[in-house]
Amino acid sequence: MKPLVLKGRRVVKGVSHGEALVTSQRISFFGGIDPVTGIVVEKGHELEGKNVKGKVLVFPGGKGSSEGALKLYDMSLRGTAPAAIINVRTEPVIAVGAILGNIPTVDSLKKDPVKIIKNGDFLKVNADRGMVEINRK
Amino acid sequence: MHLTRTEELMLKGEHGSSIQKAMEILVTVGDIYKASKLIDVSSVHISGISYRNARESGAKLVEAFASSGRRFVVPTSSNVLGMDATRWAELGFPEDFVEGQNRILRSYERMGIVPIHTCTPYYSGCILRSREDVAWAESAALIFANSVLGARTNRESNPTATSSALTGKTPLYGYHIDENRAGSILVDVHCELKESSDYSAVGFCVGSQVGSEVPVFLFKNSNPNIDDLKSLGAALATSGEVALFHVIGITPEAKDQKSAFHGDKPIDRIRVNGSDTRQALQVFSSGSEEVDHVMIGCPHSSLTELREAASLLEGKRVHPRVKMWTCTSAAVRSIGERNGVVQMIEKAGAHVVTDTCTVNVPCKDLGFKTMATNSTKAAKYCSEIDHLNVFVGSLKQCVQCAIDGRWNGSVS
Repeated sequence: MKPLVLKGRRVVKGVSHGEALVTSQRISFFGGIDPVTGIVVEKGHELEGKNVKGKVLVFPGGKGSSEGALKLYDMSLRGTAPAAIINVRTEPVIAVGAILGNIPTVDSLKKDPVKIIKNGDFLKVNADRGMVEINRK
Repeated sequence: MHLTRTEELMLKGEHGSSIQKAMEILVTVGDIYKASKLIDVSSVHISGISYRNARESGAKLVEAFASSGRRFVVPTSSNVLGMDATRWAELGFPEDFVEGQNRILRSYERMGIVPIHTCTPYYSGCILRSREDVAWAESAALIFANSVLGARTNRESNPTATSSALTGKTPLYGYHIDENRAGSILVDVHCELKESSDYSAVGFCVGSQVGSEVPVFLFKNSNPNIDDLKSLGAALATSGEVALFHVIGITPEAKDQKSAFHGDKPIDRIRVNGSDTRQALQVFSSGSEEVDHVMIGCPHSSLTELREAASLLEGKRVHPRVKMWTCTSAAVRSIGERNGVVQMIEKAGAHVVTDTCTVNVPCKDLGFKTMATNSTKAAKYCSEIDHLNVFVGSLKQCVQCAIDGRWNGSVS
């Protein structure tokens, strides 16, 4: 199947790729994810028990504590951070964590990424150009 | 983004490496949010200082900022630590943790932090006027600054707040701009809210529904005081991304419904009643169980809240198994000592803990497993981060639980 390419906005520069992990729910990197393992621990979250490490994490945006920025940075130093982030709209706490952790981040795609992208899709993210390439198995 | 000649030089590294790093962070954020320029801020509040949360990555970051010997150029206060700065030994904090925390603190002290160590800076003399542009981190403090004080801040985090403290600047975007402060969702609260834990429950319920919108509350049968607004905001910023709310007839930008919405119609309307808030609290524990920790003061207690806890504890004794913490700032505690409120609480066997709260301490080392609190924010983070079993209820229920050593019954 021909890959689908969506154009959006560069939030944090960089090029990366990985398997998509998608949720329609907001994420707090403070409390919501265990930085040591990368596993989502927020009770009742769609991704509870899933590991974000090395995945291209697709979610609407951040929520919760402003400590989330440092947590995302901490995860990148530990090697448990997502390979890239795709948001509907990136809020400042996620953006700053991604800047410090050098995590390529894209938002404002032409179509809602949470609806278009499915778990397991292989994504190539070129944040410099704001491009996301979706390869479905 | 337009930069002045001086700002360009700061970004190029002419003012040293820490100023350059600070400018890189601020300019990148400014570019993301299409800021036209940087503006001056008059106050900064920095979170992410707790060793428990900052850990080695946070320590490295602040050491890099402090290494060039630059000092903060605007009044800059500290959020909570991971321990009580004076009573840590008595409360059982491990020495290696204390050493880690002190190392982080020394870096902030070198840059000239005002060491209030609290999430309620406004109860420790760090007060703001309306329309004042500031850079506050700590989601519970910044939502209060925006909503109750009418000051203007975005959702700052440790790196952006530290950058603003070193440069005195923040990008002009978001809540610094008039039109972004308009309310968007009307929230009709029909049930009667009696105390701050009720407002905490409403905030928790509404935050998860409104995301990053600006909710405008209409309290039909309640009249929130300042502690209630503090609890409402903290909860909204826990279950949602909310940084600003209005309360019609009460907060400074909501003289009436029309002004709260800047003349527009709400894009949505939510009705909240008692059953909605009870349902929102169902993610926490229920039933009857032995408890080893009770925590009041998330966000940090005011003097009024300390007095309420003291009067409920008068003539009573906290159960020997329970460590009861009433958390507040050093400033509020010192006044509480003057009027005897602290002594009343301590006489009952509870602690008046300063500079921290259970959300920020190494719970495992302190032996906490099952706790009760009147704060949905504390409940959510303690259950997720430390896997504590958490009961949420009113202040009265929490104090009774501390005396009985067990939680009796479900949420009222």
